[in-house]
Amino acid sequence: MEKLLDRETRIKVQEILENMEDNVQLVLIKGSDDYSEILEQLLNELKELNDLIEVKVFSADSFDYDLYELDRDLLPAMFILDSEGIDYGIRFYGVPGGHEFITLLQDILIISTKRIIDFSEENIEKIKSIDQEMKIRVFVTPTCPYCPKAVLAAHQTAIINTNIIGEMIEANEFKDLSDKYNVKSVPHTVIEVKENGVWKMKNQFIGAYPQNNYILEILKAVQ
Amino acid sequence: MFFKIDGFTKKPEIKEKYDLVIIGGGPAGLTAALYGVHGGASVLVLEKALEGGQMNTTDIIENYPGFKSISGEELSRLMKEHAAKFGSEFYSSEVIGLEFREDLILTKLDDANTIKSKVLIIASGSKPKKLNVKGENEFTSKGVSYCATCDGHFFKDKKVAVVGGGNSAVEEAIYLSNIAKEVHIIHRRDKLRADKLYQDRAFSRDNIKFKWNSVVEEIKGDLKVKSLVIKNTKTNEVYEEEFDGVFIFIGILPEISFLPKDLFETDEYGFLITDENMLTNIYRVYAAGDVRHKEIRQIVTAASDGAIAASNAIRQYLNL
Ligand SMILES: Cc1cc2nc3c(=O)[nH]c(=O)nc-3n(C[C@H](O)[C@H](O)[C@H](O)COP(=O)(O)OP(=O)(O)OC[C@H]3O[C@@H](n4cnc5c(N)ncnc54)[C@H](O)[C@@H]3O)c2cc1C
Repeated sequence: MEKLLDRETRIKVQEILENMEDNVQLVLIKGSDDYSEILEQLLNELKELNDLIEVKVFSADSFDYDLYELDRDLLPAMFILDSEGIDYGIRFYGVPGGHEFITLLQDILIISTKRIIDFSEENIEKIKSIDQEMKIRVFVTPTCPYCPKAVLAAHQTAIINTNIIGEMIEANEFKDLSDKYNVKSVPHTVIEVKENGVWKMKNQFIGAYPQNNYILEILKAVQ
Repeated sequence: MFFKIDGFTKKPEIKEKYDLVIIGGGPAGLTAALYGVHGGASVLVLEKALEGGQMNTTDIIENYPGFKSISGEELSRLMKEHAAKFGSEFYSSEVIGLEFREDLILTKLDDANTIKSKVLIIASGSKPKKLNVKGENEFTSKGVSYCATCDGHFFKDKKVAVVGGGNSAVEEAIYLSNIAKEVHIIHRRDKLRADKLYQDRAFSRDNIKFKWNSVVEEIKGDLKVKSLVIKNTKTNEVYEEEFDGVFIFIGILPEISFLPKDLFETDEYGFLITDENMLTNIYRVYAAGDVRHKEIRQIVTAASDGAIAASNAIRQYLNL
């Protein structure tokens, strides 16, 4: 099969992944669509580039959804576990292609080295203060240059606070969901909070916000 | 399917002090960085979004010398790599304030860092001007957009309007005509301001239509844009027409939210006034690119401003 990553890209990715310290597990839940096949191939190509990457593939019926907070309606779905199998709430729905590929690499490094790369101490404390279950859903497209920043912010927020799930959702692959939230411009971030067992939308904003403003929007959802 | 890794940012270690700090990594900032490091200065470029600036959201560029046709993303990457190769450092953060000491400039970042430099170049570029009509804010990102490459593909086979008649408007209309079913250019005059090359292209597209002497008076919709209220300024006829989206390219405003109020000399819109060396009225502070008061705002002129600013800074203040 033809490789998704060309030679030049593979070399650069390998260089980036050399900074890994610990194993990470990429867990993929496949549907029967082409995107699922592409994502599986992509993860396998990544595995070939660094031994610290493990890939686990499940079909939707063989996966135990009770163990992880995951949206069953969205396939392919992918998440990242550390060497001990700890789930940090990072979710990818659809293929992280185009610009979004960087986010995947960055997440792998963050989980592998346990180093958050973005937030200031003060903002980390603010994120930690959130005591409700929260989902930060970031709608993206592969051609959107500003989207990785928004997704990475959501993922890092999830890593900092176990109450929070950070999702990348590829808007082209999940048209119905994008329509439901009326996504017309990306990155489009939707914040949902669980109230009495049901997810409720509490806030949404469009664009990759600077750090402090981003934190303000996140906190607004739990006020 | 493509996989890009150009924007990969490992949060680098930054020093406390640089000879030259540059705010903004668009063509002006990247060129200033290149000339700065060539001149022997230590250089840090601060960028809040993505190096390349507005070039990132320009599909194809056909007027940067040496490249007959190049994608905006590609030119962004090349310019960044060029400056990085010669030693410029980059840091991803938003500048939120400035402080001026006798022989140092303090640049404050949104991640609580403060960076000192001997010289500052402001190359923070511009942002789109709003139409200021009813419905514009309400429907922003719900059918109202200022970036065709970002939002265009949500309008596949739909009917969209482009407001404006300059280069950006016409270029983006051409781009959109490859995606949308119909593109209507709404322009307040009876001819385009855009370069002839773009005009000819637009006129040759069957699915680009023109509404001359026309202004948008209101944007209407429910959850998203449904229609525009348009006025013909010649006949004074006002009518409502259905549209799925509207892209607005009617000019720009300077990106200057981090500047201390009233300290800098600007024109009435806030564009920074400089001398021919790009020096502002503040000692050791330069401005380059779109953020400056000037006539022609293009990539090549932004690059040129950056080169002049950095070269002058090295001679005047850095004595390297
Ligand atoms: C739709 C469109 C099409 C265009 N097509 C062409 C074309 O074909 N050819 C051409 O020559 N020109 C074109 N232009 C114009 C050209 O893109 C601009 O003139 C040029 O990019 C200006 O460069 P700059 O470096 O001054 O600013 P920008 O490109 O605006 O870059 C400024 C950078 O500064 C950053 N920044 C701003 N504030 C801060 C802050 N507080 N902290 C940190 N970073 C900050 C921004 O994120 C941005 O990356 C087009 C413009 C548009 C909008």
